[in-house]
Amino acid sequence: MKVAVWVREIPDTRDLIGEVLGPDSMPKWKEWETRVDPEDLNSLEMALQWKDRDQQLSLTAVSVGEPRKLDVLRECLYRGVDQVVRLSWEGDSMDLVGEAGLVAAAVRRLDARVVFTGVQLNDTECGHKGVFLARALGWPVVTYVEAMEKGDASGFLKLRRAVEKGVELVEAKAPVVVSVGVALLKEDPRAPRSARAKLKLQHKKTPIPNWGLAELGPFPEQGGCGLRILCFRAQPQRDFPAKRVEGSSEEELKAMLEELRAQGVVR
Amino acid sequence: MGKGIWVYLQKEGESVVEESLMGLSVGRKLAKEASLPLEALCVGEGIARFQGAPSRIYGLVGEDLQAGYDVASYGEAIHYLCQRERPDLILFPSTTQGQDLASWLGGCAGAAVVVGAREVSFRDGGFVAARLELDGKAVVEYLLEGFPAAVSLEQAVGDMPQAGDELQAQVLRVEVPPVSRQGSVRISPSSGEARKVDLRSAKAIVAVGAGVRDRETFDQVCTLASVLGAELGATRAAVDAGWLGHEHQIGQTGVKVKPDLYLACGISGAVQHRVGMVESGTIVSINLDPQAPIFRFSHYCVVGDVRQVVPRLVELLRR
Repeated sequence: MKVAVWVREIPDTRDLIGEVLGPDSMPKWKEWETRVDPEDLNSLEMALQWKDRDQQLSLTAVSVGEPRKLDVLRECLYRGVDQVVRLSWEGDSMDLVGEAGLVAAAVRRLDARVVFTGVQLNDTECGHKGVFLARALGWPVVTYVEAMEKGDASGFLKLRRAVEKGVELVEAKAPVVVSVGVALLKEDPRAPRSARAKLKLQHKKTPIPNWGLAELGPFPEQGGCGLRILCFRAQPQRDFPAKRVEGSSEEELKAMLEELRAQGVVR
Repeated sequence: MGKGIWVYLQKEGESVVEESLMGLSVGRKLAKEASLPLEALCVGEGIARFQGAPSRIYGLVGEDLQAGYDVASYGEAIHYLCQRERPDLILFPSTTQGQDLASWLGGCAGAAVVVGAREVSFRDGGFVAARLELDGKAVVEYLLEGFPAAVSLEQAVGDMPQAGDELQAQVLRVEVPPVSRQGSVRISPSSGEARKVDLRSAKAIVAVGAGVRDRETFDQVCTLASVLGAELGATRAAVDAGWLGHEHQIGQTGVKVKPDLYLACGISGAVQHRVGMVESGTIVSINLDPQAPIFRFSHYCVVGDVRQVVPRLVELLRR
C-alpha cells in the first residue's frame, strides 16, 4: 500500500508582538519564522502510526515549492517517512487550488492510494486543502478526522470524524483523501512525535528529489482564483493584563474573588 | 448579477439547523442591499415551511445523494445546480458540513470562496467577505470576483428568526445526474444528541479540560459551577474522556461563547478551544503548568492543581 502526506510550511503567527502589518499594509511575511502546519504534523503522525503497524506500507511526503526558513520535507524524513518529493512550478505564484493540482499529479505518479493532510486552521488560505486535493484527484475525502481506528493493506479505513454534536464513524475504501483536524495534548497518544536524533543524522544531507512538469506531465490548467484581496486590517488585540495567582495561596485566591466581585462577574 | 443569493439549508432530520437559519438572516440583509431575490437549496425533497423560509427552495435529489452526506457527492450536486442556475452568491452555515461544501466549490477553477467569514457585505456592486486571519491578528477583506461565489459564515454570524415566523416556500425538485467516482465513504449516523444546555447565552461558564482526571475533581468543578450559578462547558478532550456530553463542548466543533466570566479548569488552551471562548469577558484559568498556552489569553492565571484550587474557591465563595 502506497500512502502520501501533503505538508506545508506556514508562517508562525502565534506569538507575534507589535504591528503585524508593514507600512504598505501588507503582512510582514519575510520577518516571521515558519513552522510545519500543525495539522499537517498531526496527519503525518496518523500515517506514521499506520506505518508502525504495517511495515509494508510505503510513506511519501510531498510539499510544493522551495523552503523559506524550514524544510518541512526534511522534518518528515526526521520523523520516519520513507521518501520525500519536492514539487516545483515555473510559472507565476500558485494559489492553493493550483498547489492541489500539482500534488494530485504527484500522487498519481507515486501511485498512492491514500493521502493524508491537515485541515487548515490558522493559515491565510481560504479553505481546506484536503478538499481541494480530493476534487483535483476525483476522489472522496473525509474531513475533520481525529483518529484512525483501522487501516489495512486492502485500503479499507475506519476513521473517527469530529463534528458538531459528537463523532461520526466513517468507513472509507481507497482511494481516499484523509483531512485531519484534531486538538491534541502533549500526552495524547495521537500527538505528533518529535524528530528522531538518529534520523536527523541519517538524513541531514539526503538529497531531496524535485519533480517539475517534466516529471509530472501536464495537468489541468487552473483558471486562477476568483478572489481579490482588498485590504488587510490589523485586528486590535484584546489586552490581557494577566495577573498571576498562586493557587496554593488562600490570600491571593481571596483577593482575586474580591476583584471579580467588584467587576460584577461574581456575586 | 440578478439570479439571486442562495442559502444552503443543512438539515437535521426534518428540520433546518440553527446555523442555516442564521445564514438566512444574513442572506436576507444582503439580498435587500443588492436588490436580489433570496432563495435556498438543500439536499433531499426540501422542507417547505419553517421559520424565516425564503420564497423558493431547490431540493437536490439523485442516486449519489441517497447514501447520506459525503462531501464529494453533495459538493458535486451543488456545483451542478450552480452551473445550471448561476446564482450570484451562496451562503453556507458555520458547520463542518457548511465549511466542507464551501471548500468543495472553492476547488473549482476561478471560484471565489471564503471560508469562515465574520462579515459579508454588498459594496460598489460586488460582494465583500471579511475573515480573521494570522491567528486572529488581522482581518482580510476579499472581493468575490469569480464564479461560483460562496461564503461559509463564522459561528454566531446572523440572527435567529423570530419565534412563530414560519413561512411557506415553493420547493423545486432538481434531479442531479450521477458522477462516476473511485473510492467510497460511508458515514454512520452521528452519535451526538440534541443540545440541552444553552451555552451561547450563559453569563458565566465553568469549563472542564483534560486536567480534570478523576470523578472527585469533576464533582468539585460541578459544585463550583453551581455556587457561581454558571453553566458547565468542556473541551473536546474532556468530552472524549466522557465527563460531559457534546452539547457542552466549546470550540471549533462545539459552540462559540462570550460569557461575562469564563473559568477554565485544567484546560491547556489549544487553538481549537481558544476560537470558541477567547471573546469571553473575564477569563480565569487554573492550570498546573505556568507555561500553559491558555495563560496567554487569561486575565487571571491561577497556577496550581485543579484538585486543590477548585475546593478552595468553593469554600471561599461560600463564606
